[in-house]
Amino acid sequence: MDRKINWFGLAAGIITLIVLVISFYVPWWQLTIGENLIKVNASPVNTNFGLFGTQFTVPLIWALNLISILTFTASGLVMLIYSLNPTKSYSKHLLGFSYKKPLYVLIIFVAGLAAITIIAGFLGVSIPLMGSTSLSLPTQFMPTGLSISALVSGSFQLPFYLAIAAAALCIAARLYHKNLAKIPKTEPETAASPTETTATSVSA
Amino acid sequence: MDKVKIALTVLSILIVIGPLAGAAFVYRDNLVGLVVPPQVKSLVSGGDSTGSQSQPEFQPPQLVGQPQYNAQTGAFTVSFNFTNPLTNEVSIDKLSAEVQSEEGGASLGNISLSQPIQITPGETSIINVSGVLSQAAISQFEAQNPGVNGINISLANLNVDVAGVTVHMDQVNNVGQLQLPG
Repeated sequence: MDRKINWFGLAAGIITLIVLVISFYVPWWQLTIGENLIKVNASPVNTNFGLFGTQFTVPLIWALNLISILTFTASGLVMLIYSLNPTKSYSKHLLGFSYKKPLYVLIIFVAGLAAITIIAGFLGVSIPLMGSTSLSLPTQFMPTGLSISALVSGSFQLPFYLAIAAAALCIAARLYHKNLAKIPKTEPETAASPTETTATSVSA
Repeated sequence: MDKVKIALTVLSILIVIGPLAGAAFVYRDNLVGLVVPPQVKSLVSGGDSTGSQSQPEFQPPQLVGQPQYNAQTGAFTVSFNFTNPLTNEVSIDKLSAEVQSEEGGASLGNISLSQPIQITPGETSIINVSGVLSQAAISQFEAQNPGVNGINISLANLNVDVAGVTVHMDQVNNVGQLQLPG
């Protein structure tokens, strides 16, 4: 007996869990000011800050990170369960629960980064999402004749791109589910139709 | 299967509400602590208010002694000391300035760091910045100021690259006195 598997869902579930594990060690996006004077390691799973060599996190962000950890875990596991049983009566609920979450986390993360850079831009501070730039402190805060600037570099890291892949595979799994869901219903109909056609042609 | 749908909906709600409620409960006596960690509080207050590790205090490089000048060769050296207050190594990649006489602002030459310097955490290092002064400029100064046995020095366009941060100062006065021979 052929067991139907949603291969896109299987891949999505596995990559979602891989993204989760890697994100504990590698940030999705990193911002460095100077030679590690200030460092921002941003990811939905583990966001922390480095200030003059001292690492710390913000408790509220830690709680949001915990939400993402649980979301990724639940989404990945439920997607795996769905992928192995895509034609069960409850599978659509499993898919509906799991396929949107990595996409939502990704969208919220990118929107958050965009909002921060836009707000910083309004304050006269240019934060590069990708690449490097020289950041000068506003002259109104400096004594006359003194200026301070620092090299600021930002870059997206491997887990970010894996998260995009996971979100894309989740969407592919949702689209492929339509094909899987059609197969059991159409089989009896296609078996019956040739007989009807034959009977019609004979009578004609 | 409505039970599956309900269970997944409840799970979604718990995943979001649980951590936020937990964090709010832990910080119920100090809600500001939810968004301002002790390290940032310590930095803002400028001290060690929480008993945690205090933030480092940067001091700009301090001049050490009088500038050294060799009238025969024109070699000129200014020494600074700098303490690395960080927990990681700091490199001073560049330090350059134009040497000027305070009286009249005549340019006497340029000085720079011969090679980058690495300073380990907590270490205080002497940074020697040297160059060769223009004999013609010094002779001209002596001619314009007869009887003077020294030139008060200032530095113009001081640029320092430290730990990836570039500091520029238009003018640093009272660097010291350059002793003239005879």
